Amino acid sequence: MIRQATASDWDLLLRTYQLSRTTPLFTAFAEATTFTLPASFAEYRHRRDSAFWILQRGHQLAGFVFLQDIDATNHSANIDIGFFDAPFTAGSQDAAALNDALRQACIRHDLTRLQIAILDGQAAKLALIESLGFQKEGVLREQFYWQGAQRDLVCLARLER
Amino acid sequence: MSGRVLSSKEHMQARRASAPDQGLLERWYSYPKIQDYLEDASMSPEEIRCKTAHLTSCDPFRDGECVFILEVASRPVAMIHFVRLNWISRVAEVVFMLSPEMPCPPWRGAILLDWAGRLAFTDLNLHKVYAFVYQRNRRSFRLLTRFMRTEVVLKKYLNRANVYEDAYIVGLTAAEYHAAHQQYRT
Repeated sequence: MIRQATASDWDLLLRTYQLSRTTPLFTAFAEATTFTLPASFAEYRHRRDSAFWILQRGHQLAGFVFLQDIDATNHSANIDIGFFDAPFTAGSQDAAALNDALRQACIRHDLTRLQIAILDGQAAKLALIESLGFQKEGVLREQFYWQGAQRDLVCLARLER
Repeated sequence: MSGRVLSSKEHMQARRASAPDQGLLERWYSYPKIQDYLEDASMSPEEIRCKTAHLTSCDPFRDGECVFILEVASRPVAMIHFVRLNWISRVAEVVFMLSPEMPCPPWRGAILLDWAGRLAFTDLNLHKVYAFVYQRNRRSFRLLTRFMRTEVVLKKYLNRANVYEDAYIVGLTAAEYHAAHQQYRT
């Protein structure tokens, strides 16, 4: 299930994120932060050029989706999708709902291009993102230091036109 | 380290950009061709003033950015701008600009890239640098891909008057830079 985040979600979301830290948060395209503090979450919450959704499994918090850096000139935006445990299965109802939310956001913000960068080795997340119509555009080699190694970032984009 | 000469090679030297360089960078950024190749959209004089004021005062630790001016016989010939400096991953985006005010011999671009590598991997001790190149900037793409690897093709990334064009991300790691130098020496 996917729904728009509200003010009451923030504390739980931050606590869950700090406890799990499954993946870094990408604050911009291919630019990640591993040290997410309450202030960073507050910043996202107040950013005008962003949208935020909560992903749920039943009543459980499953993850979040950011739509940020909405670029009115190039009609593009970055997204980040984070899961606290296993990602939604590609082709599932949850994945279809996520796809719908992204399509609606593209219409609302007049976007023709959505882009995302994910850490290598996340096969399930990659499968989900590809099932949403994103196509691989390349790999940023040794771009991000994570868990003791310089890791690659896989870049994907979805063109709406 | 503002204004201090960090390293020198033959008659060239690189120094940190500082307040007195603002006029120079304002002039360079006012060239339509420069804006066309480096910016998503054209900038107003006020935007150029704000940008160059920032470029001449930014700090690598405070802002994650720093700008170097490359000089030949004390004449500024190029700018190297490191931006999005990530001190954990030790990765940065690099923006190059050759002076639009003087003729550019064909070898100057290669020397500029060598300097960017030296500043990135020796002075700043980075692990990797990457650069964005717009599809229209073919000359720059040809030059960069002689030394850097094309990693990502951003399809229909840039919108110019409702015509979309691709952009490229090219990257160079410290290991590749040092290996190329080693090969050159032997």
